[in-house]
Amino acid sequence: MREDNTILEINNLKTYFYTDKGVVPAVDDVSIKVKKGQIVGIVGESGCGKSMTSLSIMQLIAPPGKIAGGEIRFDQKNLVGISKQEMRSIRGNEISMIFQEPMTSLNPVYPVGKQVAETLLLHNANMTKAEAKRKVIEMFAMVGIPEPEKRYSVYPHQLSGGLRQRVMIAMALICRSKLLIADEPTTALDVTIEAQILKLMKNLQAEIDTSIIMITHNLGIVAEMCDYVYVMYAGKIMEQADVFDLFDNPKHPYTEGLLKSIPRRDVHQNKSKGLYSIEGMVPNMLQLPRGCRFHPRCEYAVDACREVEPQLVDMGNDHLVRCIKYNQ
Amino acid sequence: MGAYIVKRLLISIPVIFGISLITFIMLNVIPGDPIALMMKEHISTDVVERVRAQMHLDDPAYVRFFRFVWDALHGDFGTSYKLNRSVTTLLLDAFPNTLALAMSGALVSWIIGIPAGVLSAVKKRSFLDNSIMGFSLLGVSIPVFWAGLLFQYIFSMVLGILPVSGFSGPEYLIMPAIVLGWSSAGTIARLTRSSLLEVMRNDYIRTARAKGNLEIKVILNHALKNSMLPVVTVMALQVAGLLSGAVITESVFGIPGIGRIAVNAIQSRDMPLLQGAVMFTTVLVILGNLVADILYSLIDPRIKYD
Repeated sequence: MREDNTILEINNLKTYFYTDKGVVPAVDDVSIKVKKGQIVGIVGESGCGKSMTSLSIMQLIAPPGKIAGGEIRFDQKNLVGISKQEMRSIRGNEISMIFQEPMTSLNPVYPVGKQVAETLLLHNANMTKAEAKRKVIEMFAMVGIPEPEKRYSVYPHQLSGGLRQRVMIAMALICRSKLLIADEPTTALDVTIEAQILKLMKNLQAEIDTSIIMITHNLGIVAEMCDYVYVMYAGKIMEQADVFDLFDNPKHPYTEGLLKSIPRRDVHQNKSKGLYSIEGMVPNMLQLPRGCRFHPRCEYAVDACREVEPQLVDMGNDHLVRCIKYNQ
Repeated sequence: MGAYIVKRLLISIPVIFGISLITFIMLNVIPGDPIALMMKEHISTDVVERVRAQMHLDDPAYVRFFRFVWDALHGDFGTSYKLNRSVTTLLLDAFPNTLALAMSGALVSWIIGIPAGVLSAVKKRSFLDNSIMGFSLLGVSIPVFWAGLLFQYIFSMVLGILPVSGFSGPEYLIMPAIVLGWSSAGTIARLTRSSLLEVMRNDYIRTARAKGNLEIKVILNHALKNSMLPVVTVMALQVAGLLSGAVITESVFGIPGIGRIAVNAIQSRDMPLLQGAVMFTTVLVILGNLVADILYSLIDPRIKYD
């Protein structure tokens, strides 16, 4: 039996890109669960499949990419294979998304208020333009845009990055979505603005009672925001756990490496060695290493790692890890 | 905006002056004596010299140039050697014909070119895209005079539904407009396609899709307006070019417009008329550029002139 409070359940999702050079398994057998009112983090380096997972949920994967298998259950309904029309009525309405680049995510030739109102009008056939405008101005005030009425008719280039991201958040939440996917929402912003935006998102989450999938490479944001975390590497989930459990008790060598790479005040840094980093880089997705995808960069790799791909092992307490160490 | 337009118009003064100087020099350097062409060979040199003096053609070149500039500033572009009428009147009489041809040609090219380019971009690398791009390549490559003759043969000689040439009613405009429009429709289609494909890669297109928009709305509402910047430049210059005379089309279809005047003026070394036609063209091209820049700021709010 599925628990009632699950808003999104992704089972064995496979999003593959069929390129001329071969098949790229950008998202490979990923299962993710988001409960109502929960903030779930997906962490990983660039190119590990985080964004592709979120675009798969939105069904916005562009050819040659395709969802090759698995199911995405949103509110009990499988989104994989539903009609385009049904998906459109969900996009922006029940599931919405904010993106990494507030500078380029808004259309430069339309006033920002109109762009937010568009979402509202798309999903509320009977709403008048005046009513939509009033709601947008209310929402602008809610996301902390000063002088919301004046800001309604300005163009994106007249706003700062932080304000543009607030506009994007207003756009995403104007229909009171049940699920908000935030794809690196603060990566392009200053640190001070980042803190403001994160705080705003957390407040709105409580107020509107939405669930959030927070995609980030920043473990600081995860610690700050998330309840539950998935660590992704080369298209696969490597470890998943409650946020406290993950930080206190990381099991996977990759998670361990990520945690060690955070600059910390309390740990004395060896100046000559500098900040810790994981050697090597994310593998070429066309030529994935045999066995465990992380083994070429893993300090603990043994011969068996090069042979068999490990399975996710349940460590109890909703903590799962994909490493041969725990396979016995 | 007003100040910007005034500034642009002031800047164009030296441009116009420079072009009139270059044209004047060229007209004086090319071989061929207008008097000799007028009189044929059985006239005594005596008469030729007298006419030359009457027309002030024996003055030094710089005197004649400054006389031209001075008169032009007073709105007088001289009298045509051959037709013996005021150049200004001749050009203004021909302009409505050229205007009708140019606007209908431009309209044909936009009505065909922009939708064709959009379709091509949307159905990128499909059979439809390849066909449209093939056709536009044909349109760009086939010389207008040849297309004109072909159309005349098919529609006038074989089918007999359209008049061959001349200009005495709207039906006379159909063929020249299509011939003229087809060739620039190709350019516009290709430009629209590439610009739209470029715009479709932008983040805000993904945002528009994420809102739950229909794909057709994403393209028409969110992408098309952004992709029109380079197309508008070409369109404005195209109109300016067409207004200054679709020389070949006017000749093939016998339309008495600016282009035909220019061709006749070259043949008879009718210097005042030719100089007048060139000045007319210059002003139109400058205005075309200005209109394009103003349209920019209307399309893209990021572009502001002050």
